[in-house]
Amino acid sequence: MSSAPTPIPVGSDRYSRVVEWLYREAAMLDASDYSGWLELLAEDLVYEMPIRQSVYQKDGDGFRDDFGFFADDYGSMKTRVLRLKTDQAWAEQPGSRTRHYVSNVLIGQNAKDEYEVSCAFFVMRTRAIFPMIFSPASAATCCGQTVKDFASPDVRC
Amino acid sequence: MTNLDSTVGRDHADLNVLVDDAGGRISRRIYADPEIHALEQERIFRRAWGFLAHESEVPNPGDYIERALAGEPVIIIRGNDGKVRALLNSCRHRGMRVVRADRGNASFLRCPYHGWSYSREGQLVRAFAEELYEPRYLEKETLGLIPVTRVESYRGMIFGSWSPDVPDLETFLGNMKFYLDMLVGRTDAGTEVIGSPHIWDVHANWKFCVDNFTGDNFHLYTAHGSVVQLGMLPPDPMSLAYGTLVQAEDGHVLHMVPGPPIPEAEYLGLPKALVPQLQRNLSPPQLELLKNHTFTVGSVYPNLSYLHVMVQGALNTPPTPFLSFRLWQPTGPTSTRIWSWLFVDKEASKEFRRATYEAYVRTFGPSGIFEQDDMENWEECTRVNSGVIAQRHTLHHGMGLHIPPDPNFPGPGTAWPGSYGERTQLCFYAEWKRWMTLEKPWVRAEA
Repeated sequence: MSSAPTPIPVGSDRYSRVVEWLYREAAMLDASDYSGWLELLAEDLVYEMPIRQSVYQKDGDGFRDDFGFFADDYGSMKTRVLRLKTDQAWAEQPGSRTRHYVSNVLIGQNAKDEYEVSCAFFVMRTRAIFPMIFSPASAATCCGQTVKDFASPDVRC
Repeated sequence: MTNLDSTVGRDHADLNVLVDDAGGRISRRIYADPEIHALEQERIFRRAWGFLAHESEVPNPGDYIERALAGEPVIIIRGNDGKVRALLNSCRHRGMRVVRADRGNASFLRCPYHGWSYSREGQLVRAFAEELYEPRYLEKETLGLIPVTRVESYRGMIFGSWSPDVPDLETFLGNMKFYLDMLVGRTDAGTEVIGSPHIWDVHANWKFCVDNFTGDNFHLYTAHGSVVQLGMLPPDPMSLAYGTLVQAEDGHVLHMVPGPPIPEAEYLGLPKALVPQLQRNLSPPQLELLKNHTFTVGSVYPNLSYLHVMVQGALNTPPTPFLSFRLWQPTGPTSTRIWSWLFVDKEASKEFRRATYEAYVRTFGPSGIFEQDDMENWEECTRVNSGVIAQRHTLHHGMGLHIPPDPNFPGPGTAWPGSYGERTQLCFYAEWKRWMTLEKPWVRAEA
């Protein structure tokens, strides 16, 4: 039986360290520093983006647990980054101009001494003639990273 | 055979001139013209058989999903009799969209406006305040949801047509059935859909999508150059040229390409545990083709395509095959809604299902390392071809047109040796022209 994570208060020192980490991650992505971003990732990461359908409320939230837009692990994420470093990844040649906005950050500390972080983020992407806006929510567990590691200067998540 | 009025557009261009399939020249106007889009809806999409769903998407009575046919919303629902129906998603009272969810299960379909309720078979069972109608003003047996004119299935794949005149589905598919059987008729229990389709919208004309899936192998070494640079495709740009382009029937076309000469690449790379089933369910020529090929991509006229490729989802992982069906639905002259289903043989192992899902979504899902570059080309082609100056000049389809057919190819239809060429694209455009100009394009001259 796992108990609910202990909330980390907004404005606390630990809260600020995690939020700063998210801001620095967003800044790296907006600077197209994908190699630097890859350095932040844990090798046991699971990166999924389930598809969501419109369903009546009796049928739940519409997320499918068997099908998504992404089903990545460290190896496939690294493949994506290496692909962007070729000169023929046309979806990013020329590159996008993006700005990530991160908000609504909530943090809990679980029984395994990990942070469970949820946030909302908003991405503006401008490229060619089609501006795009993404506004998904994110939930992440800092897999395998202890609270102590996370708060240290060379954070890895 | 009667020709439809074939003048179109501001300069009364003849549709027969816009597509010169014999000369390999295609007008850019067909990709960006509101009048041509309207004519396509009338002459192609309200007549031809359009793919709607796989039967596994609605396994139980009352299960429904919403789809579209020629741009109009359609409910696919399994009735209490076990039969799957396709019904226009529009109440007979005020026309309200009755079902407003992508999927669900219902005992009755109840309109959210005034409460008219329909059975799982589409019959009107209850109107609001029925006692206030004199019976002759509420003849319920005539007020069911409007059924799609024709609904037929082929090996679990449900198609619909708004035309009472088009031939039955199997006649329409013709020799394409031989090739579809190699995808969806090869194992004892057939295929099913994993999850539900990916759906995304692109600023592109649907014909660029079909064009790419009618046999365009030679875009790989440019459009997908990033993946070549990573070493996930062989470095030789001719390595995918040693296959065959096939016109199965009319506008139904495909290519088949061999992979490396290793046992893992035989039978499209399918798990070896399934091979005895292939041997039971397929004919010797179908088995020979499957055994000798690793990749096949094709299109069922007008806008259903498939992709069966063996590919790495990430560096340093084993190549894994997947089967994706694609529907390219025009939503305007320069916009398309893409539907992409992942099919799997029902009897595949749990491990294979996970591996085929990962291979698909990482490469040809909407975020895939191949797919995202394809969108670039289709959107930019559509945008640039909208220009007045651009439209003064035709597009070029001329590769391999001098190559004679291969009489020894084991499958039906016409097969041309070499899988780099523009024959099959031109088969699609020729059929497009027939449907746009002929009153009964499905009637062929006696051979």
